[in-house]
Order: sequence, then C-alpha cells, then structure tokens
Amino acid sequence: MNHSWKVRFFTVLIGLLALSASGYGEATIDDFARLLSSIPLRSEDRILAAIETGLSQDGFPADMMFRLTTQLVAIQGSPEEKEGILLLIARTIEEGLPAEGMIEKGFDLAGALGEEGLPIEAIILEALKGFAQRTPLTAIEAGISRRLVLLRAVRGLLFEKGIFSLPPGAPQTGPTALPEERFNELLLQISDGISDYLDGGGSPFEGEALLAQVTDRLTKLPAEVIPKSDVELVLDRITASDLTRVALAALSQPTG
Amino acid sequence: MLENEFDELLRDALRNEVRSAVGSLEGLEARISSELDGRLPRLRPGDWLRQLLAPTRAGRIGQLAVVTATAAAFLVLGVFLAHEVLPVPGLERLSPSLSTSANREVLFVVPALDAEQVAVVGDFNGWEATPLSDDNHDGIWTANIPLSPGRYEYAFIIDGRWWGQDPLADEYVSSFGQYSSVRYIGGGSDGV
Repeated sequence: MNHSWKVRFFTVLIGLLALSASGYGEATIDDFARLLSSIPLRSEDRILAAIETGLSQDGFPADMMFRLTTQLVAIQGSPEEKEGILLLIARTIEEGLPAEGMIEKGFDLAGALGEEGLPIEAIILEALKGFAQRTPLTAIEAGISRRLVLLRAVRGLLFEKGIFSLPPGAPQTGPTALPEERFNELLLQISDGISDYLDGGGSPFEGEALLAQVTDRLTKLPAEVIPKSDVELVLDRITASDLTRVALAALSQPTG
Repeated sequence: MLENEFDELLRDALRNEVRSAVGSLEGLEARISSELDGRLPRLRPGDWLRQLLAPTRAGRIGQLAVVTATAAAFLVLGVFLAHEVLPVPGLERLSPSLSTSANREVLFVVPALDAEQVAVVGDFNGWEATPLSDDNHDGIWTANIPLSPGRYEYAFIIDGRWWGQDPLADEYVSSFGQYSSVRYIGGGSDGV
C-alpha cells in the first residue's frame, strides 16, 4: 500500500467514524471539507459552498452526497474527473435544482471512472455544456446516462476488433495493444463522435454517414492528441454496420 | 545707311547661312548610328551575362557587384515568397494548424455592435464564461485563450444569448437543440 492509498484509506475511515458517531445522514460541512481535502481540487471553495447551500435546504440528500464524496476519495481516477463529478452537483445546487438525480448520476460516473476505468471527461463536459445552455436537468441527466452506455458499447466494439488497452507501465507488445492513455483517447473520441451524430439528429441506420462523421473527427485530430497510426488501426477495423450496431444498442437501453 | 536697312541685310545673310547648312544636317542621326554600328560589337543573347562576369580592369569589383546583386535578388525573391506562402503573425493566431506549439494563444473574435457583455464558453473553461473585450469600442469583441492541441467545442454568449455558429469554426455540432462551434488546435491535420 503506497502513501497516497494510506492517506485515502485513513481519510475515508475517519470520515465514516465521524459519521457513525454523529448518526448517519447528519454530515456537516466540516465533514465534507475534511473528506475533500484529500483530493486536489481547483474549485474546492465553490464546491463546498454549494454543498453548504444544499445542506441548508429541505430534502437535500446529505447522506447520499456524503457517500458519493467518500467514494470519490477512495476510487482510482484523475482528480480532474472527480472534481468534474462534484462540479456537476455543485452546478445543480447553484441553479436551485433538486440535486438527488444528479447525485445518482454522480454514482454512475464514479463507478465508470473507478471500477471500469472509463474516460468520463467528455461526458462531464457535455453535461456542463447543458447547464450553460440552460437545458432542462432531466435532459442533462438522460444525456449522461446515454453517453455512459455508449462509452461502454464502444469499448466493447474495440475489444471485439482486437484493440486493447495495456495496463499502466506495461510494454507495448503489438500494434493493437495500446497504452491506456491512447486507448482511452480513441474510445472517448469515437464515443463522443457517435453521440454528437445522434444528438445532431443523425439516424443510427445511416451507418455510412455515421462512419464518415467518426472518420472525419479522428482524422482532423492533431497527432499530438491521437497518433495517426492509432487512427488508421481503428479505421481499418471498424465498419459502418459496427457503428450502427453500437448506436442502436445505446439508444435501446433505458437511460433513466 | 539706315539702321533698319542694315538689320534687314543681316537677317537675309543669316537666313542664307542656315539654308545652306540644313542640307548637311539632314540624315545626321542615321549617319552617326550607322558609323557606330560598324565600330561596336553586337551583343548576342547571354553576352550581357558573360560581359558582367568578365573581370574588369579594376580587378574583381565587377564580379563582386554581380554576386552582391544576385544575392540581393534572391533575398527579394525569398522575402516575396515568404510573404506569399507563409503566414503573417496576425493570421497565424486565427489558423491553429499553422503551428505545432504545445500551448498557444488562440484568438476568439466575434462582431457584436450593440452588445454590452460578450463571453466565450467551451470545453477549455468548463463551459463557464470567459469575457471578451472591445477596448476600442468598434463592436469587435476579442479574447486570446491559451490552448493545447485538441478539439474544442465553444460558443459565444452575447448579452445572455447563446451564439454557437462562429464563422471561424472548423465545424459545428448540435446538442440539446443548440449549435456549438468546434475548432481543432495544433498539428497539421485540422480543417482550418
């Protein structure tokens, strides 16, 4: 167990002990502050202010929020993505909207990040865009769910095509075994490309158009973001019907 | 003899002198040219270059002058080509593809003549407003934002209204029923 894991472990333990001593569901802003201090957050003050506002409101699920915060401290994943999840909830509270649904989405995102190792940055940004556009909260929440489903479906497609992610630090043994960062970038861009196509009103049955959009996006990305060899690898292996299948699978799943 | 009579005689004498000389002046230019043609060597194509490159009595000064002139000509040609082919600094900021630097200032510009507040929101600022400025009050609002290579969605907020179709964008996406602009930054593969 390395140092950072020890810190996380004891932070979560102290948090849970503090809660159990005071009765679960009565977390105070100080409890949140103690937990969040173990994640390097750029907007810690803003997040804490929003949580404090939430705690002062009737019906705010403080216990749920505390469990989510505890989970975020404990899981693997980048601090930026963890902060993104917290920011989505903060934005919801700031807008004066009921936070319970977004906290539930926070659990989904935390699970995808920590247990599945999925790159959720694009999903968070899309949801933040929804807030900027003053989109109804239900639509933002549904968008998060659908993009998560699609992210998993695209990862399944890449696996099916023999394109894998290497564990961190492992040597690259073949052209289809990509370092995690490069694999995740491909996954994110393909998934986001399909999502944008569907959100723009594109039909999943027009596979060629869907493939053209994904191809266009991948080939326009600078090599600093995705090596050209990775783009060629994917474009050689995926077909229009593959993308149609993935898009239909994502659309057919409940997103509530 | 009266003074008038003397003047008239003098004018007549001068007139006669001129008349007798005109004949000898006719064709004088042609005669000089013909004579010179016979004495000077004729230049053929390329002779001008050989002549220029030939050492002069003053040593190698002539050659030096030719080399200098040639270098100057190439310099002028180079400056001209650079101006025509390569970007000028002002345009480079509008064309992300022209640089591969890791992090570069990208100019966001939007005309909004009567606006009081203009901001840009996008992937690069978590969709939180970054204000644009119009210091000279000409209705052109601008902001320079440092961005690393990648794909960025963004939109302008003009007096609280969403404005997602920037003419300088590479493409547009629609989500939640509204358009956003997209720019690809870095590399040589963007669609600028």
